[in-house]
Amino acid sequence: MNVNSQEESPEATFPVFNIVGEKVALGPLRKDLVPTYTQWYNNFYTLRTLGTTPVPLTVEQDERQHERLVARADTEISFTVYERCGSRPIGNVGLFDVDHRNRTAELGLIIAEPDARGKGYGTETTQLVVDYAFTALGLHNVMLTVFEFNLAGIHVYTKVGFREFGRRRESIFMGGKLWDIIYMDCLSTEWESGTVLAETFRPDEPRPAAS
Amino acid sequence: MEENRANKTPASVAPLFNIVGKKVALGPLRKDLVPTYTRWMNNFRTLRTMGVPPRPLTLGQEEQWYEGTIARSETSSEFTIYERSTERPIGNCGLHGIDYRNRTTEFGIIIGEPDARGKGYGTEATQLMLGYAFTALGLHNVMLRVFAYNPAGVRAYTKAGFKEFGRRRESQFMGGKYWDVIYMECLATERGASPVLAEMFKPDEPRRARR
Repeated sequence: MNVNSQEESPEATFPVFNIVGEKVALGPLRKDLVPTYTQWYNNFYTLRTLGTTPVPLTVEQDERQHERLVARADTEISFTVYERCGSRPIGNVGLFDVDHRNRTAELGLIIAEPDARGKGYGTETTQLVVDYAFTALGLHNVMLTVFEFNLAGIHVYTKVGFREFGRRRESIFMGGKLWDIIYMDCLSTEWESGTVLAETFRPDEPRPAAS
Repeated sequence: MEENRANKTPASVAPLFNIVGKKVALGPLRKDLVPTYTRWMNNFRTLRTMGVPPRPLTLGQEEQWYEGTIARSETSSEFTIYERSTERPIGNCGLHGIDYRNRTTEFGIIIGEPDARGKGYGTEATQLMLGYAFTALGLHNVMLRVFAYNPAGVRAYTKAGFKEFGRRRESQFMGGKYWDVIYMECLATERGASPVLAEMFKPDEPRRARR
């Protein structure tokens, strides 16, 4: 394992993490991972739940996409999701259209490595990112859209605390028909913070008075 | 009247109309109207219902918007709204994020001239745009977002055929508090054809056989 890592870029040997949970950890996007991202976004089965049109994506196109995301850092906050055990990158998560005036953002998640699905990684990632939105960014309403046919997604988001607030009918094409888009939101006032972010974003303890 | 016209720029002598209704007509955006658009977009009372933060907007910034909108003509279709009786430009409306695969788009409208409000112009422009989206573009689901503090908007959209499908809670800041954002949609299958658009987009009559 170590022998392999040394052939990769130095960054890949020691991934940087911003937020560390129990099963997953979140770190910045990485340019050296673009070929990995490109591999993920060429899997049409994965694209199914993303809503992007299933077309082949070249590495160059994905590099440009990466540059665009990095350039819009004030409104788009993207993470690489790692399986903690082994530090393997397994997907992306992000807050988009971050709007501090209205205290809103939209969440997007993809667990792209097929064998990393069904292990609760998506659930923990969603919890961490929503907590990040409320505790670290001070946002109030995080929304997301999920497609009617993505039952695993709906299950995860509901478990984490999202609530359906609407359904846009017949508005996403998949497998020969138009399906509903489900709109879900989660409010900071209805959210119970986890310990990970609360531990990071806490005031200093007052110093004991010198006796 | 003729004398006034002579003083205006050539483009304003005979405005181009794509779609002509009873009270309003819709034509392309016009570069010579950018100063007029800029005046509309600097009225904070008007911006209130648009969701953009109330900030002064320079002529240069509005020129950039104009160029950007034209460059995105594949995914958006933006019109100037005219009062038919005077041929005076009174606002803008458009479809954004046009997605032919999913047959969806989002509608937005602004009546920029305060004295043109409350006359049914917005309602008619909305009706014409629905007809345009369904009959001319072949779309299936048109959605819009309207703020809970804008009942005039909700009324106009409802009258034109939109139905509420959800409410994102406490997600729009206005006047010191957070208001709900109301999501509305209209489906092609739930709306009769617009007579104006149906008249334009009709097949030729078969020729009569010569006797």
